[in-house]
Amino acid sequence: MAEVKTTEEYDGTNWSGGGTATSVGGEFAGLAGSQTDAFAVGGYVGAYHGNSESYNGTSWSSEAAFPSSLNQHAGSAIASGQADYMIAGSTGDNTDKNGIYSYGGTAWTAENNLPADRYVGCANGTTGDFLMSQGQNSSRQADSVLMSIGGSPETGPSVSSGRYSPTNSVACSGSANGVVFGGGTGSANSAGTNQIQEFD
Amino acid sequence: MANQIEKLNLIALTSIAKLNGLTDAQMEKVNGLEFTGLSVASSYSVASATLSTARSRSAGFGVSRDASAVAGGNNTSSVKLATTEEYNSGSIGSGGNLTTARFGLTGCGSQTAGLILGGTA
Repeated sequence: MAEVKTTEEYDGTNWSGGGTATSVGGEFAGLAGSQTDAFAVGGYVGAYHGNSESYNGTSWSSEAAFPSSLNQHAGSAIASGQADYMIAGSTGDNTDKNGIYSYGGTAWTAENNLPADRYVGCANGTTGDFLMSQGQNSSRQADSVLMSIGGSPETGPSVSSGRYSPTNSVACSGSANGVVFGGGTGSANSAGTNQIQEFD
Repeated sequence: MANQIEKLNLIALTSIAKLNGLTDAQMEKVNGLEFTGLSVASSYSVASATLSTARSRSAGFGVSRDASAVAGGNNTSSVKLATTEEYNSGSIGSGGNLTTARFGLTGCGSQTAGLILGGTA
């Protein structure tokens, strides 16, 4: 097995190959936007890195690099792929597990920190209404944090049992109306669940 | 109705408690732009539907909870998956298979125009 930087595109019925990224991808990269206007950052491909790229539906182009390497963070955006992106949580060098950063299309901005470290969590929303939940610290986390650009993190709803590496929540128009699929009940993939979680 | 604004003077709406003394529930428009108010996540629940395959390290995508999907990941035997499951208004159904099974991937886009990137194949 090996980490890959390939993409696949879905039309509601079938998957087909898309453009291959130059550096982003591998495990736990961040990705947001649409099939023809997407933004990606980080991921483990033999090593952690902070490179970012945008995708136009055919090919990938370099964007401003994240200040450090990234791994197992959670990110989300909606308005347009690379112009409205926010990530939170662990970075690859393990020195910044509580950071929140936004990307406005040209540069990264450090926002106020999460109240506590976490990684392999999930997130949804926009840079104006962002929710990060679950994931792992010394144990699985059940709480969530609401955040916006320039704002102070606030406590969001807690789940009954936090998951290890669930999907990112997919309803990205805001923090509400989100859905999260699966995720582990332990600290490894072998304890994956079939649960579907909803945030309102 | 839909919000036509996301920020005021570069400040996120969720960071503004009142505007000219009015809460968001008391406003319908701001400078002529439609404003439906904010709906920040405040509660959590477990759906009655469940995935056909328990999984982690998979990719979710979709722009609405009523039309979303999950693809790839690991099952409980650590086998990498190619399957896709679609979630529509509380019910789950099968979608197409990825051309390459993978875990640790990430996703975005809509249920009918989705995109996944990376992972371990």
